Amino acid sequence: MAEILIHNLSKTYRASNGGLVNALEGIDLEVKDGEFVCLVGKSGCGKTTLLRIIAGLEQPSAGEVLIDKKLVGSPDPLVGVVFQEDRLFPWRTVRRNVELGLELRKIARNSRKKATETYLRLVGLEGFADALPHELSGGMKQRAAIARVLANEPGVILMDEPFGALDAQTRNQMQEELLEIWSKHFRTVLFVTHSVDEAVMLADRILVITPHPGHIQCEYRLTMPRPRERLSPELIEFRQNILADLNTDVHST
Amino acid sequence: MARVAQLQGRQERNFTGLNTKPKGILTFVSAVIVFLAKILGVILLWQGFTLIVHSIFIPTPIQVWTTFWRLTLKGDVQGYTLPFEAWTSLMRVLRGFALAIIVGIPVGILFGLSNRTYQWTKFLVEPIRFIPPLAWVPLVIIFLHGESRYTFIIWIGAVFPIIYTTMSGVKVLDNNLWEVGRVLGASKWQLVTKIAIPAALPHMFSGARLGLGIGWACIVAAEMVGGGNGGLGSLILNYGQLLQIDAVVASMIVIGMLGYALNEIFVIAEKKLFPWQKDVKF
Repeated sequence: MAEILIHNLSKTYRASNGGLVNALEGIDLEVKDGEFVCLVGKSGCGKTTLLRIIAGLEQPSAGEVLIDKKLVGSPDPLVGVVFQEDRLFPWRTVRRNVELGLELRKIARNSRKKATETYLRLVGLEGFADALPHELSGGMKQRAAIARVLANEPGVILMDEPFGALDAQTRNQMQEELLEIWSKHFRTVLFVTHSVDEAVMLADRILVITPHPGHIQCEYRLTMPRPRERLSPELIEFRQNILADLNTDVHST
Repeated sequence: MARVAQLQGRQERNFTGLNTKPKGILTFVSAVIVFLAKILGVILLWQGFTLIVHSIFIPTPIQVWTTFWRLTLKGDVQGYTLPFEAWTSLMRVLRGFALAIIVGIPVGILFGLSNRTYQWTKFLVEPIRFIPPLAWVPLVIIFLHGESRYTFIIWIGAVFPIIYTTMSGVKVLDNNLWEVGRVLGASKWQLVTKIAIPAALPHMFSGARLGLGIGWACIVAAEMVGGGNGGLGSLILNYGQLLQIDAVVASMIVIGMLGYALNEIFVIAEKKLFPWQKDVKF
């Protein structure tokens, strides 16, 4: 269980042509304990950069990120990251991939084994524990990647378009499964996506990010219970509003 | 464009061709027939060539074939049989090769992890890489004796491909996997032992295979040095001096076939050990 606090965060980097690019500017964000927050924006708006800074993989140019009131400077195993690509280790079986975080933290073999079994079952991969990643489908690979993060029992899970590379049906199914896991284990989730459709199905709160420079344009609170009906009038209205917000940037430039 | 498409098509056929087993006895039989027909074709061309260019220095396939069996069953002038010579050479190559792995893989890993070490030693290592193994012969004759002469020549031929493929394997490590290690809390040491080295293993294996191939090809040069008895290389040299070209050609064919077999063993092992690696092996 953990909360995320971000104060006045900016990120500037030097582009290959020598000019400075403002990737993010003046980001203030608070994610409460157990909250499911989606960051929605078009590609290139800086949402992935923001997530990578929260993960400690990149340093902000100004401002700070606090997780559980602790300043983030480098990656922390208790802040889980699920990437867009499954990033499984091809030479390790599914089981040994899921076990990886625990192994790196030198957890005793017995408790490692128990946790691995639990999370393999949770994502429905207990029958594929001894398969190598290249033998799995895209959805199964991403499930294994999620189990690998869950096995570490992180307080915060950061997800960077985790279902972006999957086909539509698998994607919908994965969203449902993720909500089920989240409702059982109730962890703080920050989920980056470019799909408004995905965000309205998942989030308690949606933050719309627009580029040049990347900033939080507006915020939506969704109180409807889950699982949500994809075609309910409420969701359609949210979807239309958010899509309109995403497009404001296009009109102003 | 057409060329690219053609190349891609060929690669794809390679992948599937290597992964699919013959579906029935018929496909197997036809594969054997095609193989035998290809060999027969080469032999006929060779025979035709000896008829056109009539020279005592160009042996016919039949001459080579009888010499091959004479050497295999009765042995050469010193009484050593062809299998014995081949075994002697193979052991020499394997000794040099083993030493090349022991040195090449750690050095390759070090160069891959620390670009600074590589850059600092480059002025020395790179020129040595381009000295042909044959050029070491006089020094080897002066400073080494016995079997260690062969070991050194094979070693110097095999070690560089092993160093450089290992190095590039460590260097091209997918940054994505490295990041996974970092977010899961890996220490520097763990990043190397649990990620960089296992990820580079298929490259090390390929490097070893290339090194073995070059080491094997150095065997004639190595056996010019003298110091021990026998070996396919010295067989070629001895019979070359006697102008018995049929024996020379028979030994050449044995060297080529054994090298091919060694390479195939490695390729098969690579496919079994690293089934996720999809690159073309040669």
